[in-house]
Amino acid sequence: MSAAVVVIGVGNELRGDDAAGLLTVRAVDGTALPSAVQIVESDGEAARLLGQWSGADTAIVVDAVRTGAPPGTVLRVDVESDTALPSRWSGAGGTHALGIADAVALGRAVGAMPDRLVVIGIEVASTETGSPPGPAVRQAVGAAARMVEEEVAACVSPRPAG
Amino acid sequence: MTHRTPASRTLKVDALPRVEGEGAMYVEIRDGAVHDVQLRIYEPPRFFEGFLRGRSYTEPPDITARICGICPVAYQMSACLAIEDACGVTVDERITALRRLIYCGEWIESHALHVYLLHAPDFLGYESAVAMAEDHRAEVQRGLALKKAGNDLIEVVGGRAIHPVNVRVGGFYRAPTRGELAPIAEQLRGARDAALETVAWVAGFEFPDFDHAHELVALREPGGRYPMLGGRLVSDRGLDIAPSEFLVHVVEEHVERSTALHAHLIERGNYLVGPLARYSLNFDRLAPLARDAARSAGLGEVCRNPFRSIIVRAVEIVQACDEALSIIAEYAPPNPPAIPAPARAGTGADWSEAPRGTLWHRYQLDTSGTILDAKIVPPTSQNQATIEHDLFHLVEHLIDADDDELRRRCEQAIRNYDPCISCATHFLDMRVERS
Repeated sequence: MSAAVVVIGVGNELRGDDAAGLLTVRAVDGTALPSAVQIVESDGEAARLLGQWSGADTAIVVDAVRTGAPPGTVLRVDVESDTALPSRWSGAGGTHALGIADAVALGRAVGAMPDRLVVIGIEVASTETGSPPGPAVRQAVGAAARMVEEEVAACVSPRPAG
Repeated sequence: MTHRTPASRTLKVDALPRVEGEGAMYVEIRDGAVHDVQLRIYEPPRFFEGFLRGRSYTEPPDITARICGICPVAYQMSACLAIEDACGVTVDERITALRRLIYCGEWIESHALHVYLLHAPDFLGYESAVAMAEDHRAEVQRGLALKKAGNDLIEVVGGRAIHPVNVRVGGFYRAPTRGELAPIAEQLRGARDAALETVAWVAGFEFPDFDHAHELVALREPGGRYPMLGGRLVSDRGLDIAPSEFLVHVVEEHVERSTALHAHLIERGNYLVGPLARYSLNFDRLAPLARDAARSAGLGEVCRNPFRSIIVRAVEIVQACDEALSIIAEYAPPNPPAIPAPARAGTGADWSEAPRGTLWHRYQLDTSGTILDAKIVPPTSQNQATIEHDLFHLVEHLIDADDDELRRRCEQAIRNYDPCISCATHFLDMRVERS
């Protein structure tokens, strides 16, 4: 049986590499996904994220990140109930004061979390307003999209018993 | 980082939380007296105005919607109205009703976000909405449900909750059917009840005595409606102007510390746009339900205490839910969903009431509809000088408070105005220097 999975691409297309999450979910091969998988785009605002992922069994959020890794690095965090996301986890430093880390904390406080949350981050170089996404991020989008597809496949396939 | 000596201290705050986007605040105290207060705003320097030049006159609704994730509809509406003014066309009542409907969704979602997640924690003594939610789970859930009702309304009319794609110059690409609006009406009835509960909840907060004397400026619409789309810009001191006259009365000046421009009324000084001004100049236009809610919350017909803006926002959520329900009850899809708006050479200007206040757009087109010039004045730039003014007096009043208290109260005072720093700015830092 398929799980209800939502894939959320977060970003702002007018701020350079901050578009990474949006570009990634657009690069996901939607035709190959089961019907129980929904792909949405988001600006990453905390309350909106809660609305987009609440009720899902699994949410996969794709966002631009700054961790100090080389631009274009793709990383994955499986957010368990007791792990905290890095406080600076947000695209572009945020078009918003409340980002994914706040959404997770708020979602836990009010009981609006999916059963499982996976965050896929793409390291950004520049998020200057008006600039197009840079080469490192554009190149990383394909790998990030494949990671999303694998993640979805793992959710909707029957898990091995035991 | 905090340094303190008896006569001089420096307080630096790296971020001002719970304000849309980020910016910076600087406070300088010399010999025990406030010397300077600056709100520094880093605006993507008029990027959008430059970006629009050379583009087609049909593009601003989609492009300017991306200036802000919280008030895209406001940008779309002001852009459409201003371009329609340039084209010399006026949309019909049905299209206007549908525009007001989607705008109600934006007021609901933006105000619910501010009241519950950004402003209420100040009054209840929490560092953040997350901390508040631990103790006030039911209230935060109510706020999130309210915000979702606003988002869902925008999505039904606009095709998408953020950066709606269904809005165009002349109207809409497609009008929703009555059947498509029925489920949202059900949701809005619940939201209206939640909004009334919100008014009662925030009315119970404690408010400092702090009335300001700023000139209150807001739209006044013909036809007796609470201001939202177009009309004249009026004030409590006799201002009464058309959109084309805006820059005759308002001057925007560059301030060295900010990439945003400070707006002033010529020979009158700083002024205030936003919920307090809108409410105070249009109390008679509120729906009876919203007016009763305001009275029962202890608000007079004019409100000059910026801390009480949280009640006014809650009243405006009631107003928006109520008006949305009225529009849906009488709804007949506009047919066609958009009127023709052929390009012509000329300049058009108009405005609308964004959740945070009046948003003015002006476009100059050539005969083929190419944009020669674009000008956008967002509410936060108009309020910036007023916010600084309030901060100056607040710091004077709190000069003996310790740094943490001073910082907390300044942050709260800034949040009173719900500055959408992503419209007008970028990152927010706060620094207090005492010497």
